[in-house]
Amino acid sequence: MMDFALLSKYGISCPKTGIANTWQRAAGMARSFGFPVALKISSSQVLHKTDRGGVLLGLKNEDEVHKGYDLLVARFSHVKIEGIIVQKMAGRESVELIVGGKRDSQFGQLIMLGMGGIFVEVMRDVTFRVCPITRQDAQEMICELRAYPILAGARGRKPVNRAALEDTLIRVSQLLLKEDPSEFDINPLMADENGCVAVDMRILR
Amino acid sequence: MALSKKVRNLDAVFHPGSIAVVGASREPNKIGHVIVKNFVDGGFAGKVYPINPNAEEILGLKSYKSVLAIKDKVDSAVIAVPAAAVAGVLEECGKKGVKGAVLITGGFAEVGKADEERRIAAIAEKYGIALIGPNCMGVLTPASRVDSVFLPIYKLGRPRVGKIAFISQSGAVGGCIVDLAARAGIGMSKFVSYGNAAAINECDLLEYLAQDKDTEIIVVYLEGVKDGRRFLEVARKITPKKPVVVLKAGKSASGAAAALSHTGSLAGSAEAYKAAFKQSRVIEAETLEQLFDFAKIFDQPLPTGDRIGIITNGGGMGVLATDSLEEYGLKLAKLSDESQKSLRISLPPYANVRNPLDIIGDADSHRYEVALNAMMRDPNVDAILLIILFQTAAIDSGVANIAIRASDLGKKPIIAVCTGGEYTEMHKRIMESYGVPAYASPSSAMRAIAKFVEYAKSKAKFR
Repeated sequence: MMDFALLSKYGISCPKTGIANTWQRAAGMARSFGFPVALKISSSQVLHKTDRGGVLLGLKNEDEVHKGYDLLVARFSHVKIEGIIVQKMAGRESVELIVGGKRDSQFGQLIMLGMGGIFVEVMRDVTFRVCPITRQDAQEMICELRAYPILAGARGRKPVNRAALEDTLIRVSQLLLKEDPSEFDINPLMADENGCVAVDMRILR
Repeated sequence: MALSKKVRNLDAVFHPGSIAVVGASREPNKIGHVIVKNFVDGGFAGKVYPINPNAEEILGLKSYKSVLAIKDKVDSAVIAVPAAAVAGVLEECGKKGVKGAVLITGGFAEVGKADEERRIAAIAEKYGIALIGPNCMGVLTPASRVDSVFLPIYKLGRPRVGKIAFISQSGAVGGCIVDLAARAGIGMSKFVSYGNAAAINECDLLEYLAQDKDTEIIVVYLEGVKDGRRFLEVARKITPKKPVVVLKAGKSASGAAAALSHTGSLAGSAEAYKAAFKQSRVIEAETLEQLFDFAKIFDQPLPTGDRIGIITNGGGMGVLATDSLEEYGLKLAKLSDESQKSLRISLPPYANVRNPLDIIGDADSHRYEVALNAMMRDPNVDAILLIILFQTAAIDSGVANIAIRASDLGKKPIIAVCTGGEYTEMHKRIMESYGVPAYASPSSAMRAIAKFVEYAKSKAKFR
């Protein structure tokens, strides 16, 4: 479960999110966040939103938001709806990263940076440090990834915002030391030239 | 770093004026006999007191019933009595004012007797004794001929005096490495097998060695540390002054199988150690061979850059060296115009005066000297890889002499590669004995150079 409050407490950016009760409000939010956006059903009666068709991704303009809003309302007409969540989605040029933590019996909190997504364990392009980390540690972690050239702007991409990524690592290190979770994931952390946004997270106390 | 009393007392372990061997024996195949013999035959200049209640004399030395029966002062003790007798012996040592002790005896925490081990540690603590062990193989100080390693000298070679201190949690692994190092001509300032580390642990030894004037390089074989955070802090303070090379064994258990997160499944104890090593600038070796491959290169002056000059009397070796150089992220030096001009004059017309500098299969010692001098003078060369194939007709021992003389100048790092059999090995050993690190292959040399350069960079010597 995404704990926005916890992340924002440590200054870790989350995607811009709002809840709308009319399609006009939804379209207005989308316009102010910037496209593309995702629409998600908000209802205590719908637990697995994706499985039940309650999530629409990649809506590119107000017209699509309007149609999407109407579709979700119709699809869930049988349950009590609290509203429709509007969430800004990362741009196409974003890089999916993972930033995580684990309590080690010998060294205490470890922080991990790696290439994110669902194949994290397969690619194993990850690197660790013992918390707390310095800015230099953060810089070295970034440069150590095999996929570093992608972050630095391979194939004509815009390089990701290095300072923002370093800040995120340092803030996660602070979060880990303060909260002392047994395991922690931000996956994916979407990084692009503007900054980093935690799209999903998981914390095990 | 202010040292605690027990750490300061390690002086008595490494440089004692007098030593008692408790559990000394007349039986040649007993540990207590071998240790006395090693002190006597090894040429230890201080007093040796065998302790054995049932013997009058051992190896020509008067034997005592207990350390308390000795009139003069005793700096240090080597203890090799049955586990049940250890506490009593240690109490006597404390009363006698013995400052350091090496406890060879096993049968403590490693067999589940943690309480017994704590009791021993408490006695050492009470008297401020620097206690090494229990369950260890002993200590060597080649310079003062301290040798409590209980393996016979004819079976386990003792290294020459050098600048590398080697501490090993495992006695078996430590012993093999010492034997190999001795054979390869690598020198040591100290060797410590620290066993169960009941009182003196790896961090205490690191703190001591950081201030030891005879030690310039620290090599560690670890299976685990007692306190990860302290290790990180201690190592962090030492590495800016002295390089620390570590081999961490026991890495296969990666991540917890039952982990619920991606991070949890990827973060095993190996990753934690790796992270700590990186943060403290500890140089990590992946294999036993790398441990001393990496350590011995620090006999040379630190490089001021990553541009490598290669000299070879075999073209193929130059190609292999260049491949490895790229693999490890080093740069091929571009020889200055001046070097090229002078080499053009001195080398035969069929030699190519580019880096890698192939001085051709008919090169003799003189040609090596010319090439080496050019690279030593060239401001574009930060370190020199000297490949010598000893198999050719024109090469003889003179070339080793030239390498050693150039290395003695201490101007630039000179690293030798000698690939071959017995004749080659002999010369490798000679060069090694005079502080020229010599490797069996271009790749092992280049990997060590890469670590060397990385360390030099972290010390902000350049860039």
